[in-house]
Amino acid sequence: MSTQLAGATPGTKARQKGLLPALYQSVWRWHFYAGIIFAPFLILLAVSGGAYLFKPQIEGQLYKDLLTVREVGQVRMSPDALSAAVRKENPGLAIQSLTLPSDARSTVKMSVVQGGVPTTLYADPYTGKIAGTLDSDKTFSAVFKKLHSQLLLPGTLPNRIVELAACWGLVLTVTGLYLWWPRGRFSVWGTLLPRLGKPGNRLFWRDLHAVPAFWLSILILALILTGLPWSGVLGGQIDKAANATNTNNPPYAYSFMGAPESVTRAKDIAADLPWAAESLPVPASAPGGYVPITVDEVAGIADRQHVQRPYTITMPSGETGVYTISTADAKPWDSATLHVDQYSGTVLTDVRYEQYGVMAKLITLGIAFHEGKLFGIANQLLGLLACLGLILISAGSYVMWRKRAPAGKLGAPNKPREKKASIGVLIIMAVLGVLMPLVGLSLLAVLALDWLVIRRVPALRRWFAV
Amino acid sequence: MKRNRIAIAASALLAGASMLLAGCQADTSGLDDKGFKPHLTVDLQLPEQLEQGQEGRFAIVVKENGEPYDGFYQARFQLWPEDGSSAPVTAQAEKTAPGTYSFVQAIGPEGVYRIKFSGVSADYEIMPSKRFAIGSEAVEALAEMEKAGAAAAVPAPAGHHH
Repeated sequence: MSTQLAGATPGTKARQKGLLPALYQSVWRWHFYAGIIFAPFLILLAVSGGAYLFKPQIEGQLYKDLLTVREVGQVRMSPDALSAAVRKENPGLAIQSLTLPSDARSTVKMSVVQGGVPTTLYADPYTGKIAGTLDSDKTFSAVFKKLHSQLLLPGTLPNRIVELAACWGLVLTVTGLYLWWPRGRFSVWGTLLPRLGKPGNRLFWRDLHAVPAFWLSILILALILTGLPWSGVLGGQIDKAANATNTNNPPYAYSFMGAPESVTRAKDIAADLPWAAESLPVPASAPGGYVPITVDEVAGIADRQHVQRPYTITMPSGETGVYTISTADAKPWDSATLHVDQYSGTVLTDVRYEQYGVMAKLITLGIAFHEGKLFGIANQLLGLLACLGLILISAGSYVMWRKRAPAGKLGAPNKPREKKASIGVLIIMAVLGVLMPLVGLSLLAVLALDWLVIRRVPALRRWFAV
Repeated sequence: MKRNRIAIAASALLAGASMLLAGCQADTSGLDDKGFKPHLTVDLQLPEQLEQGQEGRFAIVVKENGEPYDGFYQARFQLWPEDGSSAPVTAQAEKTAPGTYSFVQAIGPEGVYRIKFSGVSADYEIMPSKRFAIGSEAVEALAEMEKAGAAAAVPAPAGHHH
């Protein structure tokens, strides 16, 4: 809200004639409706995001017994020896991957499957004992990540709702900045500093909404923009744009983006045993196929290729699979993903940050910033500040709205009489709708609802101030 | 004269923009059509006749981009019984043809054996190995080993999403 129109109520000052007031009124209406609908989602994203930011510290305490060894020993077991010890303790266990830590006090994390159930297991590299297991889907970070990305609900729709809320969060920030922009005589109070002299009045809540929103706007925009490349719809568009301009990652840059096949083929004599199948005499000698290299050898390759610990070694998937070495929790510029032929040990792919295109670099840095991993505790605190601010801004807007709304009415800002302003803002919104497809779809839905229902029912027209 | 200057300035601008754009793009130089970096392919060959007490020639053909590769500064073979009943025999590999390294060794008593080649160069490192069996019991044991190896193949890891 501007300082000039801060106290405006629907139907009073905002009904001033002229294009600029009408433009203000129109932007206010969009800001109001978008806020009413999406503020609860933004609060949820802020709460879940704020908690997830401190995953290392929180999980470090919650799962201390699993993540750290009881006593740091003299010599760490090799990955193969540790795997063998773990399998001995748990026969029938299939190890899918193991993460070799950089810290001497850390246990070795293993993704395992036992009885068809995927589990995360932590083993003491000094004793070979299993420190414990965690259900990967029920950890603190997994729950908050699921809340942040899909509202704890299954399916694609919740994820799309989160993306829609984030996109409208962008619109809310930009329209909010327009509304905040000082008009008329500039005053520090109400623009750069909140007027908190009369707690509880509307001006108090207005300033608690608008002033922090201005100060945090860049941070909030940065957090939303850095989260969107991972979204389902807009993320796909960003990926396409990066591919089209060859500014994306080279192939096989991430371990989760699929792996190639080993170029060396195992010759499986077990698949072709004529003497066994046809009761023929067993031959006096037989050649076997290639034997996969050991995990110790893969770890040796990773170390000689200067992959920084902690890194994860993922086992080959079947006879044609490859070993994958990928950095875990590394700074973006230290990230590495290697695929290694499981029979010859030859490195087939080795993608480092330096090879990323500019968009991939920006996205990777952005994600690290979004997750509070880019510059340590300062990054986490900055993220937390934005989350707390977003909660204050969103919750404050509800109080402000309830204080302003007349009894029995929605209290939406009136539609401006100057149609040019409404059309102009609609065109801007349409452009945003093209840039953000889910925003575009929601706009079409709102326009359809407006034309087909609200305009035809007088009570609704009054309630929505159409 | 003025036109020349404009042309030179435009060319410089174009070259600068091209360099800037090239610097913004993903670095895929040197990758093949599968997205692989230059790598070695191997063909580890066992003696045609595997007989107890007889010498056998083990060989490996190493290629880089389809061409014989001779760049190893360290190339050696290791042969050992899988049951650990005797110590591994380690020998320097002999280069017998372009990209081909060999090793001749008499094969000991019946059992399952492993032959491994280790090659290290400035750019590459390879370590392929194969098993073979001498004696009918060992052949059956080898068949069991390979069956077990195939059965123990790790299932595909679950996907990742943000």
